[in-house]
Amino acid sequence: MSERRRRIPIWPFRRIVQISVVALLIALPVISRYRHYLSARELDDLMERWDGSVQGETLAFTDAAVRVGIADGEGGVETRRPRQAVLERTRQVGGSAWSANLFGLSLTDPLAGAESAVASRALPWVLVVGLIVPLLVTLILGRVFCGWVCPGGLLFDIGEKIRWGLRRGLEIRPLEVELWSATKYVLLGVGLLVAAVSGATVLRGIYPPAILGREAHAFVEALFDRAESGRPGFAVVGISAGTVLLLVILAVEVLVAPRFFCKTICPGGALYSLLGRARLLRVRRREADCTDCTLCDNRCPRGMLPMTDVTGSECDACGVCVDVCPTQALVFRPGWSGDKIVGPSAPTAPDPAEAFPATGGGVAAAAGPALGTIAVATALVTAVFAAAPRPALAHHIMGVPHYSYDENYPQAPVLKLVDTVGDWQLQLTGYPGNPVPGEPTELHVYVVRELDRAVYDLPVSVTIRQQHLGGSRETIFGPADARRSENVFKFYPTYPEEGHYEVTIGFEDGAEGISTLTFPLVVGEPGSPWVPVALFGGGLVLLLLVVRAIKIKQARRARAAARREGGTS
Amino acid sequence: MSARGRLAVAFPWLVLAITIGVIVWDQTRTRETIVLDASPVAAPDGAATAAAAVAVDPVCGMDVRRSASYRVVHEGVELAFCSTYCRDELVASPEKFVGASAAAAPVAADGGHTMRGIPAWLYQLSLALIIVLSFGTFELLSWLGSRRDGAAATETPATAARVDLLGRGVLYRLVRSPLPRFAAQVVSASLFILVIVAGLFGHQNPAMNIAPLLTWTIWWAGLIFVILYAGKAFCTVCPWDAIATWIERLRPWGPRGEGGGLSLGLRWPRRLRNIWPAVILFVLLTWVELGLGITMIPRATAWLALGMLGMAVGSILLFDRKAFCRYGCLVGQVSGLYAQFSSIELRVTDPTACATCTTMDCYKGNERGEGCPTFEFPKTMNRSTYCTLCTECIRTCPHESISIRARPWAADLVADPVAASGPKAKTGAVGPLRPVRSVLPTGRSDEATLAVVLLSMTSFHGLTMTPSWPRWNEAIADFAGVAISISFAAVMLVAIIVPIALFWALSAASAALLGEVGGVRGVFFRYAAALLPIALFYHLAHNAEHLLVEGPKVLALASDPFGWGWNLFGTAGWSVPPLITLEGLWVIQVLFVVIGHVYGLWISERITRALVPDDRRRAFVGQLPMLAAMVVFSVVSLWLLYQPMEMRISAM
Repeated sequence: MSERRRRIPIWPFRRIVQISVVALLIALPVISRYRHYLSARELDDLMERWDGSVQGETLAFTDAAVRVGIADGEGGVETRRPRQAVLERTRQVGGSAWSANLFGLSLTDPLAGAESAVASRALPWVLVVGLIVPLLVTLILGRVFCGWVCPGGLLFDIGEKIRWGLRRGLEIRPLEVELWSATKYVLLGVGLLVAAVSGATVLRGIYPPAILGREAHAFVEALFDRAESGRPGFAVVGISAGTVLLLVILAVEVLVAPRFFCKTICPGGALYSLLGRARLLRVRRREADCTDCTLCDNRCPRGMLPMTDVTGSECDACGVCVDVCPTQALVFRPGWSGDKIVGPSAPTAPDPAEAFPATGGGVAAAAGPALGTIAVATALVTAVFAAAPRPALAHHIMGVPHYSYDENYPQAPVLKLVDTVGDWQLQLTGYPGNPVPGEPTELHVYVVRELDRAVYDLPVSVTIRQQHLGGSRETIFGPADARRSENVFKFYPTYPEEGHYEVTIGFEDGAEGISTLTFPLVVGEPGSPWVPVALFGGGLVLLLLVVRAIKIKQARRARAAARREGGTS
Repeated sequence: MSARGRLAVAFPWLVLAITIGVIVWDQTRTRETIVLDASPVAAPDGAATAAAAVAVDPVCGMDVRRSASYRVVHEGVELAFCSTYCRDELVASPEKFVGASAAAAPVAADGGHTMRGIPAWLYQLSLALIIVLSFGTFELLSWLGSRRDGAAATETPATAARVDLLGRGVLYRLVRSPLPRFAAQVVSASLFILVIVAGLFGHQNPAMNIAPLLTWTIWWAGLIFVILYAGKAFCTVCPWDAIATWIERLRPWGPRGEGGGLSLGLRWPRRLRNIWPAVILFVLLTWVELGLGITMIPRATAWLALGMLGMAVGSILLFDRKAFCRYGCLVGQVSGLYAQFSSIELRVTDPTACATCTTMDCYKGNERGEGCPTFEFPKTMNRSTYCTLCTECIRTCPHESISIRARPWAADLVADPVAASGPKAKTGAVGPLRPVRSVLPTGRSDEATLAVVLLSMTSFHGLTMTPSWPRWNEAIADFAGVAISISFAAVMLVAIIVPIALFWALSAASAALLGEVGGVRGVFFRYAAALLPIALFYHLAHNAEHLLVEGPKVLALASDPFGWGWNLFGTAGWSVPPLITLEGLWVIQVLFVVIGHVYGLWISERITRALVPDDRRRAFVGQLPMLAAMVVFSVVSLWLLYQPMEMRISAM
């Protein structure tokens, strides 16, 4: 004990593991898609067709990565792709953060295991096998999953950095609301009860690793689906309410309650905390070496106080305190003694941010724990039931078959619009539903009298105008008369480019003049409505930051000037 | 307060009562049903004969309320009509509209629907009325003026009559509390965000999206009615200002905290300390509204809303107080100009308290509220143009000396010294009247221009809604060989320049005849005030059509604001008929134009009397060119009302 070698820091390893997990979450759906194309013998065609786009490059990279170590050639042909061997290898990995299979190692999140076991009232063997490794690790290091594996942990670490930046750079002191830390147990209990009673699994809706796993899948699937329908390239697609929920949680972490989610809400964390009470390794303090410097107390992301031995099952083995200790008085050591649980009433260390003057709305953050718990639980349950478990817009809902890559496959129409003028009901159907600019398409008009379903049999004409950005309109088709086929009036327009169009259908009613009806039509993706919102929001935030930074600089300059004056006089 | 004063204050509300009365009369009076042919003909498959509450006019295709429509029984079916015009057309040749093709779809233009203008007899009658009134009123006013000048120099003029609306009771406490205004701001901000969300993400068919209707038909048209009665009350609840202020202060109400808000508090550029920025923005808005047709594009409506919000947020973060509200906001300046006419004002009620006040909390702000956001000093404020009715000064005044009062119309435009400094009747100290000239606004080039631009742009708006407009526009574009949007801009420019040039020429004539009044500029800038009522009331007549005929459709859209097939309140399928029939509307429109014209005459006469107090003959002759200007503008207004109108939203 006399000489101390510098210990190897823990945090780089932790970051490497966390980032690898995120990379894996994105890689898993990509590999699944790759396998899909490979088994459909479409891979080479697609790589060529999508060359240069995100999808093409991703497939090429995956191809190169997966084939490492597999010799070219199959069935005696040198140049042929080693299809079976590669397929076999890609089958080695699959799943997400919720439940995965990595090279034969079956992994199931304990929360997933608990919830599905309760919901289905069965404990299948595969579940038990998958739980072995996670449970063992938890029994050794407690909530180590939270600190090292969970992508939510990484996200909320970023939130902490943003918080720090706000405080330091912009002198904005965010609120520090503390919720009752046992909320998570309540939520876990309620969630399991719901699962037991109704069979619905709701906890996965608020569990960050599960959300991120799902969103990664939805994102990758939607990206490739787009490419398949002729629009390769990057786009923010497939994002559902889950991402919004995570961003809201991040915003609350940054602005209202730092680290509240892991500490007080996360049902998975609750489960790990419960299991972690019996953990083998704990952070221990060698009293002789401790200089009572409180560095570890200030830095602990979970708000525990290792210096005064107030640690507990919340500890996620992140190792920050061990790293930060100048005298290396803190170590991981086996130990079975009970934990001192930190509650909201525990003394908190003085915040260094107190040194800066508080600005903005300094609303007292004295929310009663029970009230906060009820509010948070209500909000989360509402959010989950309202939005989270909604399926992403899957391809089969859109009617576009994804299992065939043959262009001649009859595509189901997406575009079908119905409206009425007077007594007439008009139905506009477009083929294909997703028109490609520059290629001929079909529009079918069907007119019927609402009252007696009598079919209209006088001429119908169609005019298509393109709406330009400013709102001016340019006729790109018609007015053209129809080609009649039975009772359907057919038109064959070609759209010059992606954009907003309006289809005006005119039909004579015999008595006087022409009645018209206008339908909107969108070709391709001529700019998402999110673009102005993002531009506006981004510009606003930028302006706020610049203005704030200037204000702070002015104030500092004024203070410096005042000091100088004070010195000279 | 004198009886005349009481009448003057009550007059605006009398007009409101008459207008409502016309609507009620129009919707409830029984109209004879003409029976053409009572025996039912075997209609194809038994066409609906049941009398639905809302019927479709078979001639023009408008939705009409059956109980308030003109009816004809033809072939045993009761048909309903919007006006006697459509009815007579059908009676003349029923087979054209009803018969073998009884279920023929109504004539509906491209997403729109044509409405008839006022009938020829009403047009000619109102023209005659305008001419007669122009000279008759003029004579009458002259006579009244001379009588009063001679008889009662000490009597408080009727224009100085005021009624304190807040008192010092519950209402006053409510206004002094920041909560009611905050609640109203939350509501308006929510609607504003609804417009943005619906515009960006909702169905892009304007008839299925609430954003265009709520913005252009309800808000932009209704705004003028609000100004007429409540002044700049919209500014009180203005959503973009509210959101910008929340962002800047990070608190729901009250003055900035100790650390100050986020604003850099820069001074607004000296060269821009006028309302020219707002004039330019107003012309630009009219151009995008009419030239680009953004009233029919939900997306563009949302962009515009985001643009307003962006300007408000940017200004509040960069500049001192609410500089944008004072100089930049086109809505605020249009409201501000009209608000001089409004029947409500915020003023000092106890000048003696102001005389001894040393703290000037109303201008500087205190812990109860902020100093006037638009740099007004209530003690000397005698026009409502720049007062946003934010009520901060009512909150900050330690002497409880500021209140909101009802007043006669046009009180700012004919400001008397007594009116400007509060009712002396209250304190009993009625001093001798100072000459009117001393408080007569000298006029400002920016405000005068905006007044004329308002008049020309509103008329231009009406012009673009006539069915023949697209033809003209295309003909001009073809003739000049340019794109439609360019020819449109050119025509619009002409529509701005011609009225200004005309008014300038007539001002020059007046200036020559009146003599020492500050030249053409002096006449132009001052007499622009006389054009304000004409612009305002034509604006109202034009907007009455939007609001009463198209506005009720909001009931259906409220249930499905995004066009996603929702039915929130069960009203999505409603076919909402107009609140008024065409004939009722015509009465209201002509009434408005005549009222506006008479007010214009009166203001012009007051201005002349102040400018040339001594020489009656010179005043009369010098005023003639101005009179001609007003007659021209009113006649143009009437001619536009005489034209048929293409309505924005079809009955789809």
